[in-house]
Amino acid sequence: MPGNVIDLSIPGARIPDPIIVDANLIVEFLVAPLIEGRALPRTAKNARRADQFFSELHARNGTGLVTPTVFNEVIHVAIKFTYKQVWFEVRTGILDEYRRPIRDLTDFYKVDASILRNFEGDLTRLRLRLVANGLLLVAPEGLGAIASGRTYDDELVHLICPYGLASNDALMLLEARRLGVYDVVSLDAD
Amino acid sequence: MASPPTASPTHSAWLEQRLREHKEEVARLREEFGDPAEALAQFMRERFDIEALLPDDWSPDDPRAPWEMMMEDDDSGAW
Repeated sequence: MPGNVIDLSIPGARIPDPIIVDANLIVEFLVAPLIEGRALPRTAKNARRADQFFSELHARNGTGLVTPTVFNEVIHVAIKFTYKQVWFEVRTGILDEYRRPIRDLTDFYKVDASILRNFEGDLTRLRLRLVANGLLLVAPEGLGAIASGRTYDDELVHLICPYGLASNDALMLLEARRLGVYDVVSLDAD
Repeated sequence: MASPPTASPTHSAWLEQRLREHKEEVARLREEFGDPAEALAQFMRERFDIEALLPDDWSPDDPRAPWEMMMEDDDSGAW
């Protein structure tokens, strides 16, 4: 990635402040308390790294910047978690309740938006707890102009193709650059 | 709140101001919640079970993180 990616697998890696925080690190931090004591070694390793990062961020009163694209990814995963949780709890009686085939979460999401409406309070609680853990959720209007002078679409294509980035990774990088911050902490070194 | 920056390769005055405001908000929330990591952990434990969240097609031997799979699924437009 054409930015400075901090690899948390390297012991003692120096964490600049402020730093852009990738969605995968935030999601691992969310699930870390759920996997304590479970036989999920690969997942536990990432969760430990996320725990350690946020513990260090707290200890030095540092700030993790969350770009609009990253926050959207985190919210999206939280919503999927919510539907999966409800699906898990009511799966046995779900066909009768909705009177139409529910094959998977996508069907479930489309047939019952009330779950999402009821999740608003929880999303607010989640957001405040993320902020309390040192994350600054940056609004789109807080991003600066594109320093290269290219248009938004041209800059995005310029980042995706030459560097082989997924579109969301390129968007995060573009937003980081517009903030003037080039350090990104991620569990994905690519 | 200060106006957003126009263009800057380095930390802008706007970002510096936003960082200061954020630290004040963090201090206030930590006073309210106590340990912020524990507050988040408690929220997650109250709302979710790990058995419910793991992708159906994921196994503990899978080299990918289960949440990574979940985000990759999003790219397909299936959700």
